[in-house]
Amino acid sequence: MMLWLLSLFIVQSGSGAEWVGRPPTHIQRIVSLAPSTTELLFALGVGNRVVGVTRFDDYPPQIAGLPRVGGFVDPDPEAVLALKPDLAVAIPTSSGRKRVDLLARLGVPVLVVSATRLGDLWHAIDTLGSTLHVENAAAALTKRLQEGLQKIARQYRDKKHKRVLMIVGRKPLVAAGGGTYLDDLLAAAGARNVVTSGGAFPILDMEAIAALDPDVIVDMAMSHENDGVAFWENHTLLRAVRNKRVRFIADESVLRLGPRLLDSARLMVEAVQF
Amino acid sequence: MKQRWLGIPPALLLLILSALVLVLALGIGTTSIDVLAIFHPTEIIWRVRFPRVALAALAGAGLSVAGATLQALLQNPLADPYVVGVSGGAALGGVAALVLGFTHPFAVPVFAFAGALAATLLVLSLAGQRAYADPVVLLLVGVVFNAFASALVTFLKTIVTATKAQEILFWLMGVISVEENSTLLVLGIYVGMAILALWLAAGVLDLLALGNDEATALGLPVERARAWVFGAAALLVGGIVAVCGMIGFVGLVVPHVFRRLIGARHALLIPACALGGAVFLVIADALARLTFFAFAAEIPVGVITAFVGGPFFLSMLLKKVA
Repeated sequence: MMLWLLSLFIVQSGSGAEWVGRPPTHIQRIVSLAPSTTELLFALGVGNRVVGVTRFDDYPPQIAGLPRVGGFVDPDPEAVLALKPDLAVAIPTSSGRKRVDLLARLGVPVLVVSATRLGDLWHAIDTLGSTLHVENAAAALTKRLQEGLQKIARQYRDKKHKRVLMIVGRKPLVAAGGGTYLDDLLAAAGARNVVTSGGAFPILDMEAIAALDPDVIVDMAMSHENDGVAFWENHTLLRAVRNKRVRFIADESVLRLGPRLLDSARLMVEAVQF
Repeated sequence: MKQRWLGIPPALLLLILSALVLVLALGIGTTSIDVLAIFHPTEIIWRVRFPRVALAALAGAGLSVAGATLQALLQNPLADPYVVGVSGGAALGGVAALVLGFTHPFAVPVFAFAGALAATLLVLSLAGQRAYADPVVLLLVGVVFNAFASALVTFLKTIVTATKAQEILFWLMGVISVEENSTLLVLGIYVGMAILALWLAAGVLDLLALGNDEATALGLPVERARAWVFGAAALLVGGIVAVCGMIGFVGLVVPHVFRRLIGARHALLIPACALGGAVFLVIADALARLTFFAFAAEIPVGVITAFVGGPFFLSMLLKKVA
């Protein structure tokens, strides 16, 4: 019975966002269940309504004193409830629906915005804008990001597109494949992803990488860069290693699909074009 | 029952202690600690903490009674649903239900029960009669089975989608989450009936614990009695693993402590283990909530019971070997 009632409130609002629970009308207190949605809320000018964030949040600086409600895979229901939020904003995570359903059952409506492809960002900004009645800020943010991205893309459109391998984990070796926002970002930076099959984040071995033979390897596995240098310099069978074309992006923001998109795009351009 | 403490019978003492722990646990949360919270309950106490404490109590009681039962059946004080591989089998069954895409609410518990039962039969037949002669053989078979089951679970985890993989991971580390009241009610009836059945069979358990020959000599149809009691224990473990994942060592620590305190007669041991197991897991889960203050993340309760139970198990094993 409960489940059936709950399913009535699951309203699809556009392709990239989903309500779990009854959409609220009056929103003063928001808990953000992902670092990227926190950044979006602040970029839309409603950061003052954010009352709780995850333990992974580190931007913008204003969040420093905010209560942490757990991670995006494991938000703690009591910690969320204690903040008496009108709304929780989340992204779909590998933990599935259970945690989000629980929050809705406890009376906290959750807006889940997709964060897989670049296109999901525009949906997320649009949905947050209309939900929080800041449509103008949303439109302005989208316009700024889209124009900035087009400007970057125009610069490198006519260059010979390098073939790039994006690494997001070293042990095991995990690459960013097609169907990811990083794939879109790489395209905007004027390069081509060598990984086109095996799903969003396939696990590769050195032999597979040698066969893909990328011109450039962009290592975004967030650990100390010296470890990364030591890791790759042993693998001289890779042309990119021999040609000293392994680049590191140590800024975690590049993995977040949020309002710092243009910074991420510039980091990607620097990594692949220079 | 002869020993008394300040003139209070042990049974009453245990009841008072259990009630006290339940009240205190309701006062411990991830956001505030107020041991008297029960006297001015908030929405959080009723809707978040109460379901957790209730689930921890149910799971702890069931696992502890299942442990006491397995120990009698196998005549082995080191037996525990987790150690001998029954929990691993239940987890494997539950994962199979997920991977095969069964969505009916009863699919996972039924598969978990089937897995627990299959694991019990397999472990028993592999260990064979030697299990009764040499307790270590049974443990070794259990260890190998657990390793095999977790490898199989990991394999299944690799070939499914990321969302399902996270769901599967939950089976490998026990978690007490906030479940719906209807789930708690069904599990409560289920665990309560299984514990009651095993309590009513206390006399049979006493005989089984003596060993096959003695039990047969005393007129017990041993094979049939063992089959029924094993079935009840597997049912108990399957139901609990289906809701909480694999929580180890509860069934080892609690019966052992109570056998020391009140003796090995199952008419007393079973209800004492039910209460004591509930108290043990409720405390472990309250500790799990406390870890949130330090890490803004909760340590799974299975990790905490393993921290306690692992060294406990080793010390018992050392005593046995020495």
